[in-house]
Amino acid sequence: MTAMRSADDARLFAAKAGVTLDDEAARNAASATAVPLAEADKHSRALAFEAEPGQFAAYQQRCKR
Amino acid sequence: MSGDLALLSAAELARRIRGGTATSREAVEACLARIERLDGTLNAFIALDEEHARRSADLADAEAKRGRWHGPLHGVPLAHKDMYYREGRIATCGSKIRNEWVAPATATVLSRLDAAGALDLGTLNMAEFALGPTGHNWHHGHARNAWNPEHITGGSSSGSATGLAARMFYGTLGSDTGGSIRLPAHFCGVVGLKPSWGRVSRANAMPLSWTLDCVGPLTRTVEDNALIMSMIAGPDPLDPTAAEEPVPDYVAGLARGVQNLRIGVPTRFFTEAEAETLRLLAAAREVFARLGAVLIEVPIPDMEKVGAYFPMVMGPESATIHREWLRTRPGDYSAQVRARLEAGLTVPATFYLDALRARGPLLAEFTETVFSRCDILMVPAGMFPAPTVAESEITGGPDLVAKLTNFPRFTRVFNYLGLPGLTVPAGFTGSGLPVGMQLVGRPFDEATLLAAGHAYQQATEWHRKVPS
Repeated sequence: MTAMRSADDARLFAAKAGVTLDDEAARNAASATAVPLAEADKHSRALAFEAEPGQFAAYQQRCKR
Repeated sequence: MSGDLALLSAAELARRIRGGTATSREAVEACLARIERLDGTLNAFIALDEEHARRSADLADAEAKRGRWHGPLHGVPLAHKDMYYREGRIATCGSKIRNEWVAPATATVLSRLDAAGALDLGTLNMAEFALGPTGHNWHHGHARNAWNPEHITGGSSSGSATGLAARMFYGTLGSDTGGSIRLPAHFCGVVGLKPSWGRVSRANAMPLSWTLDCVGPLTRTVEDNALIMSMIAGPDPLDPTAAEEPVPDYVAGLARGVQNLRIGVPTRFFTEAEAETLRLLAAAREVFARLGAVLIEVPIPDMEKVGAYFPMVMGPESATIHREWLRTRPGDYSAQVRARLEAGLTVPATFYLDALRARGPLLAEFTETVFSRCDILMVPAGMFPAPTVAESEITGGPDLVAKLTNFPRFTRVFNYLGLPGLTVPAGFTGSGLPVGMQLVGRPFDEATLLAAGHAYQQATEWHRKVPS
């Protein structure tokens, strides 16, 4: 599981995007994302193998009145 | 005469202008007088162009005299959130970074309102880059609630909602990525529609999160909302995500009423609002019942799951849009906005893509669970009425994002699901703060929401109350 766990992880991710986080910013980013990442990870495990992004407009049409 | 004109709805003003009993110039003067009196406190405007407004009004009146009518909004003064580009005009997007940025093109929605004859008074305050649910803006000053300036307006369409409540203009465009139309409408006692994702073009409007962003109107009445929607909705060659779905006549559809309309009442999640909000919504349900609607308790799918996926989409998309400025101008963001954008950098690509993979199936699950039992769902727009500016000043700390999440708890889930949501004023708390209900419908079924909201407003007086 790759969910964010530490400020070091947050700093690393941001650095890969070319953005430098200081210690406080890294701690805050890790805190902000820790719970959402864990929650999303839990739900994503039940996703269908075949599910693809980019099909939302088709679902909208299917779900119309 | 001009003082009274400011209190009219957009539709009423348009009818009077067309009937020759009011002029556009009189309406503009009525608005400018209120702006002069109130905006020093409310801070709704970022840039007001009085000279242009008067010139445009005189032109509209001259054309009216010659029988040359531009459209249903001929001569009606509007003003819009400062993120809709107009060629040659500064669009600050509520930021320091774009404080002097001149737009190279005009937003499709502004062009469509221009073609309908509407006037544009100027640009309105907003959360920095539309990223903030409270209405705080540390660059242009916080917007303040017209019902009590000690309280927040909600965001991000802060100036839109408070200026409209204060009768500074007759209608306005907001944008809604997680609740930025519906929340300020709730806090400020006006009508706000977040259309279905893809219903309204986003071309040449500032992006925040392209999967979630929606453009929609805030108005004083539901009739005005239907009128503006009829002007702005529909496909646009400049925005490939604007749906080809045919646009119904929203104004004509208002007459449908709510007889036998099945209105869903949630049994969980949306029941977690504070007590006064729930009491006002219960009273609103009684109004609908008297009008002939059928109220049905409906089960609600796992909205916590939807709420968990939302930041997996908004975080990475907004961080991607802002990445270059986060690298080169991080000090030019306010602390709150910068912290939220930086958090988005830390979401792995697989999590982002999973959130997109889950979106369609979760829409199908929600639609099957809820809309197989009812035609529209009625929920609170917000968990609570407007807090004070001071108590919602959130600028840092490890719990910053968690503190802000409660504001859009009942709105952002419908951005993720792409469903339309209409906030309609439903009354006032004991301390005089507005509370809004949120009506939610199937994809592209804005017409049913507008018909229900209009029927409610025909039976109530909340939308006629004016802040003192």
